[in-house]
Amino acid sequence: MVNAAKLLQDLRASAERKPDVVVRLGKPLIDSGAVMKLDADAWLVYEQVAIAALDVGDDVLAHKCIQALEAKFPGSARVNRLNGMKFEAVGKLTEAAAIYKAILEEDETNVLAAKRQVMLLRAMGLPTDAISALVKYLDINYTDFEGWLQLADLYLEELMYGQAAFCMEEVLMLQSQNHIFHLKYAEILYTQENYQLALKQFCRVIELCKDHVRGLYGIKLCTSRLLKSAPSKDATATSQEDLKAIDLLATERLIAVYSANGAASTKSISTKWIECL
Amino acid sequence: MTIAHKAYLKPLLHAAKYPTVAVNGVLLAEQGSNKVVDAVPFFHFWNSLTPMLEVAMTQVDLYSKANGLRIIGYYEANERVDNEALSLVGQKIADQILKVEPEAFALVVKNENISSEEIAYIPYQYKEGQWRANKSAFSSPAFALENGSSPSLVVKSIREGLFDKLSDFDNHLENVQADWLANKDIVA
Repeated sequence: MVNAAKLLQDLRASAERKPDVVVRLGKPLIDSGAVMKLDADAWLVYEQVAIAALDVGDDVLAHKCIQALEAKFPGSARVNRLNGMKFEAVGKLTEAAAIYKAILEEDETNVLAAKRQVMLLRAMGLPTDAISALVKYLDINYTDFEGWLQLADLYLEELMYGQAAFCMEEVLMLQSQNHIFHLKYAEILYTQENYQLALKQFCRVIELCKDHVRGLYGIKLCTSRLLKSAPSKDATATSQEDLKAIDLLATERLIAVYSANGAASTKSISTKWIECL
Repeated sequence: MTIAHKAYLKPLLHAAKYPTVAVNGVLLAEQGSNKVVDAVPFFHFWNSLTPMLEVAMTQVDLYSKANGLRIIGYYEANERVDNEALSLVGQKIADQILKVEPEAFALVVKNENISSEEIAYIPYQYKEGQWRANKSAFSSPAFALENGSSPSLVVKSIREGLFDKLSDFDNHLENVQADWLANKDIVA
């Protein structure tokens, strides 16, 4: 029981979405009443298990958790949001929307309800409405990098790469040391055929995370494209000599990584890929 | 087209491994026959960006040629359970395969059928200038399962958690030990 509580706490901290695990660990705690021994953490477990139960379709368990929370915190917007999510889980999207709307009318800055509303509009197949709701939210909460990331994803689903790139620039202003964000920005730039800038961002990924395989592949793609096209007259562009040097270095590192860890079959294919690029 | 069990199984394991996001990949047929024998899973992080798609497509092509296979189709499972449309990105990838293989097709996972005894795919074929769903394909000679019990075998594999052993290209890029091309641990 102590272990289950600890594991649930770790999952809350890492924000990983493993509903099957959460339900498997949390259901016995709640059914046996042992959860109340966790004091203040008990209510966090109830909330966590409620959301996980909705994810895996265990409506009875979700209902039980939400009822307990409502009894403890009557009128709480945070709990009421769970009711909205319960409606979402059973496909009653209009009812869910009404709950979020009511919460937001009471308190425009309620972050949880605002975010659920965005995801709900997306689930309803209304991407444009989801985008406008999120833009409105980010007007107030412009330092929420997760919000900008979400907006980037919404734009990507609509294949609006320019807008997605702008969102990633906002994310990078707030979180400049996370290599995954540089990676995503680099891949968007490459998709827009902006190979010069994409190369710089892929290199940043490698600076922040040595031998990052995806970053190395990205560098190889960019240098190959740039070396095949006519040399740029732009003075800020990477010179042909530098491109060749970067290309060689990325090739060396890729081969080294595959030699150290790669399975024989994938190693031979990646070597062939490097040769035919 | 005849779909062998391994080709039927892997895309559904991919969808089961990442139930909350969209996943995609390609289907491989034997050279000179219409037997779809395998599937190679690509992505679960994001699928609308081109750089890693370029790498994946070229590497699968090299792998296919070395193993007497050819890329014949594309598959995807949508994030939303009720969404059974071939995505814009999926259409583009399928177009690319169609340029090489006139019989190219796409399979969209019918999410609600994954854990049932029904066939869990909707085939899309290119007709009159666009990708069209052919909902009756599996009841016509155009598509057939090599092993009629594939759907019920998949239910069993998913229940046993076989999807934990499946690696896609995103997994491979995080850990090059992951054999996304052959996925040898998935024995059909």
